[in-house]
Amino acid sequence: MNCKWVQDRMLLYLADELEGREAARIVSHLERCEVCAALLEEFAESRDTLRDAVRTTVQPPASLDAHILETVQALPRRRFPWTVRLPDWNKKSVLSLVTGAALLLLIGFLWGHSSRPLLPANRTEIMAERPMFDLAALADSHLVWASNTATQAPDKKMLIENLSRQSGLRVTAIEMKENALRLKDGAILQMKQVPVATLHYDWKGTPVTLAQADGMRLAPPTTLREMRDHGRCFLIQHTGDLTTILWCEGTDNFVLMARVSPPQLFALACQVCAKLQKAEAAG
Amino acid sequence: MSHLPDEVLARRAATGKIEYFEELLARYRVRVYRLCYRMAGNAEDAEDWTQECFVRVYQQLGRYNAERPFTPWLLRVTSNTCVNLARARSRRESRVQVGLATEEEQASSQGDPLHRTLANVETQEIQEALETLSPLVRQTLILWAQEDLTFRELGDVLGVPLPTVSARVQRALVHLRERLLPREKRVKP
Repeated sequence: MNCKWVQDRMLLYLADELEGREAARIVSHLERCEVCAALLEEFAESRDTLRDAVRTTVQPPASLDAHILETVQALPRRRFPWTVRLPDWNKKSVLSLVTGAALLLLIGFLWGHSSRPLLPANRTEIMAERPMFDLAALADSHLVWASNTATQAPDKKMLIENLSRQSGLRVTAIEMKENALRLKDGAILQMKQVPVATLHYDWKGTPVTLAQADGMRLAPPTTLREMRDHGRCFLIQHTGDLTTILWCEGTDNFVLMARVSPPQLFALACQVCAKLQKAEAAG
Repeated sequence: MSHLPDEVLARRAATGKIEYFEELLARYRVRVYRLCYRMAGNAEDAEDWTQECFVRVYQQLGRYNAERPFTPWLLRVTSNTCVNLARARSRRESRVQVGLATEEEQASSQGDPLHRTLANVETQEIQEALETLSPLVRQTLILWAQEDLTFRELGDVLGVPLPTVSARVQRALVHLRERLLPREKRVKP
């Protein structure tokens, strides 16, 4: 064993982070080698001196926290991710629905990808960089998948019923469209080449449209108004009699739309958040 | 909220709940500031860098995996931010003498025993020696010395294998020793 082998491991030895056999070899060497023994002492001294020096107390100014919080709160909103979580209060139902939907999407994507051409090439450059989904194909494939499952769902209506049963929500329609989403009352809302999937259901008698959109392409317009509730930021848009509310929950993205007034839908969004927080705390 | 572990706070802060981020800030403000102070070498930059570090932490909370300990992740984000800031500062200023008092300041305080205790001199010299290390090596050394991390933990924070970490620290210590100890007192490896 040479000195270099020992010296390469001196700090690990001092930190007691060597295996027993290696440590024993070093001890044995140190007993015979004065140079290495002196070097070990020197490393230990340097380490202690350095630690004493860097651990001298330095305190941040009292105003620092306020500056940081101010900066953080002024940050632009994060971009919306792909996924959307359903505003369901029942965790198990949500899980069932999300799992089912994910499976549907995967099957639909694979089916659509293999049997249909991708979207036409006359897309913007940005679109071309993104993964493309033929949502019409996905919607069709859902029906194909549903008709082949054990539930023997023969049509879209049956699929909706199954989703309603699984989710505990009163799902009234499911649609997957490109560039637009259809509200429950039949109105079309253009989404400017954003692929969307929509799920319509009734929330205590209020028709609500939940949209899943390709969030990476969903840049909320700057005209959206911000509203805050317990520190949480909601983006609200009211066009005609249609209200849209968007907000982020971790990596999840919520979009609520309904032909109700902004305060009504805002109240619903706050309730959704409260339910989710409660569910998260319980989980 | 004060009883919640860091990991839970971080997960909730990642959902945009600012009050949880505020609690994390309260827990780590001194530690991060101290790291920034040693990396920057002066109080003014340390304040700016601390702010930048926490902004980065906030922005990257979405990527944090709450199944892993929070402290190493925070140290990685903050110390890497410091390295980037130090590099940017070096590029801006061709000749940087951070953390050092100006010659005038030194001259005026040299005769004042209250300001120039032996301990202060030693700390000042070590800070000066730290400034001569590259930002990456400085980051490793400061994390090791200040955070009291084991080499294994340090490797996790920096994302490098154990032998690399110990070799980097050892080289840095040798460098510091050469700068701080008179030649005749050094042991030649």
